[in-house]
Amino acid sequence: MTDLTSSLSEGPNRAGNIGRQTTRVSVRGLSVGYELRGADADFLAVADATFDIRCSEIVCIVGPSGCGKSTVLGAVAGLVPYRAGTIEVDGKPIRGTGSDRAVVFQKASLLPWLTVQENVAYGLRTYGVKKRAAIQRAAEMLELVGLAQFATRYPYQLSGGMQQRTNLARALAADPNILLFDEPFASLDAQQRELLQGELLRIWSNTDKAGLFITHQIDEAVLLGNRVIVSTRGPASRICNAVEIDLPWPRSRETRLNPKFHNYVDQIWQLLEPQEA
Amino acid sequence: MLTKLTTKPDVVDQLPPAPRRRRWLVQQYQRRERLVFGVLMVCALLGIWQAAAKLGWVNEAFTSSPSAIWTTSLKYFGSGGQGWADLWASGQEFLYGFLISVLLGVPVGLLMGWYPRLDGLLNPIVLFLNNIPRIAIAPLFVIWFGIGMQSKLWVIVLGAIVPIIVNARAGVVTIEPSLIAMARSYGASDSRVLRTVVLPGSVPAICSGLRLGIGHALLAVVLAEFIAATEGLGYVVNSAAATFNTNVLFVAVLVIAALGMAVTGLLTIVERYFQRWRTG
Ligand SMILES: Nc1ncnc2c1ncn2[C@@H]1O[C@H](COP(=O)(O)OP(=O)(O)OP(=O)(O)O)[C@@H](O)[C@H]1O
Ligand SMILES: [Mg+2]
Repeated sequence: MTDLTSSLSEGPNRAGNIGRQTTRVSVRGLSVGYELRGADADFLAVADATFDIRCSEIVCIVGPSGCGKSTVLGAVAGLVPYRAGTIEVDGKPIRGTGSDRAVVFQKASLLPWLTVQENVAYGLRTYGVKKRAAIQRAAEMLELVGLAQFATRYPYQLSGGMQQRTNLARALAADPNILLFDEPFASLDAQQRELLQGELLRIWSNTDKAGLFITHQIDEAVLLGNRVIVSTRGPASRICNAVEIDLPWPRSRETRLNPKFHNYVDQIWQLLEPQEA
Repeated sequence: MLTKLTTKPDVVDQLPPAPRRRRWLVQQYQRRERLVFGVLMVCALLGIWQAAAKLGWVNEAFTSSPSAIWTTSLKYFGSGGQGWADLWASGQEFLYGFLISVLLGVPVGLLMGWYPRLDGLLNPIVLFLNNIPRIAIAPLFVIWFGIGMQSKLWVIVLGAIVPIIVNARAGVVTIEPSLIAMARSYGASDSRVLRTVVLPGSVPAICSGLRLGIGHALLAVVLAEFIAATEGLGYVVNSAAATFNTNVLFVAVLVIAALGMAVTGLLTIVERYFQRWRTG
């Protein structure tokens, strides 16, 4: 278990792209169908998803609601069985879930009978980390997401946005090589969203982690992503069309002022638009 | 911290002294209004009952009366009375029977909810037992096991275990799937998912199963003692009815009710502890 703070100071710089060559996650020709009760044929949610995430990269997926973004993320996490294609992590095909991947779920998914702190420590405890160490690290992560004073509250005593930040802290605390974000900032206010975007960029500036980030906000995708993958409308969606975001690192709020930023946002808008009609 | 916002002192301090007391009384009343209404109703009924018996509107030999029940119960639980022995006998049967039902029923229900194959296997039995008047089978146990403790325990377990199983199973089945997915995403083993997600998540449903189980177990105790017993509250009810001793009959019924309410009260305390994440 690497300590995040130490990996922050010693890890390779994202701008330097030390790990850039190494592919961490490789998804090829992934197709996922859901069994439907009473129907003969499966419901084909995703026909083809193909993309790579290299070390120290964040890859964003945008696309209309219901196009299968969560489905792809679930497949990479090892939670959703897929019917065809390959998912490789560090060159090896995945077999179910693993401690190398953690998910920030679209729904906060907190255990209501655990305190905020115990919820954040849950992933670590599942990895077998001792209680003291896990709680200690949970406290650090709660500090990071601004919930330190709510550590001993229960989830029902938190607002929706606070629950979502707890969900985020739980995945960050587990500190895996691959983080899978499913619209983690969707229920936050604009200010908090910007704060946590900054925090994420800071973490990623000094890490060789790979991130998969799903969002509905195109500007968020452009700000955070090395690449933005635009999905077609589902069912049987194709999640392959990647737009390389060539904006300088390290990125921050100011990156939004870069004229190229708006070009990318426009470009992605246009890629999405034909499907809106 | 939250209570601080709603405490009264800040408000009360600003009021002039005279109305303060009335305020306090009114508040006490408002807080306990339901209780006050309940007590009023019970007192009214007892009063009417007493009046009806003593004024000769009804035949007291058939209806008994609150005052007669009171004196009878004093004698029943006084020196030389059988009260404590009967309570002890029935209480023991109830306790053992209920404990066996819980220790068997909760795990079986949880596992049925978790393993669909086990569910398929046991479902016919549970379905059958859940949909027949189970007490109809009771005399069979007397034929098999005689009139000792054993046959009584079987009758009680039969009565109480079914709602316990059904509710524990429902508790597992209705657990939010995203919580299980969350645990799985960290690679949690089956046993860790069961321990940290399924079991705590089923606690509310298990508790309502136990609540129902208490009622069923009490019914079974009385019934088992109707069929075959030489002591116990059910036996007292039965023999009092046979000799038209309505006073004793009412005393025994009230004691059974008190026993049920006491155990339910205990359960409520346990429940509150396990569900502090719900009530706060
Ligand atoms: N468990 C399931 N069983 C059957 N169909 C499902 C299941 N989960 C998702 N689907 C279907 O798969 C498709 C993709 O769902 P998914 O949740 O991946 O969408 P999404 O892109 O994440 O949408 P959103 O942006 O609204 O979160 C949808 O049409 C949905 O109806
Ligand atoms: Mg989704």
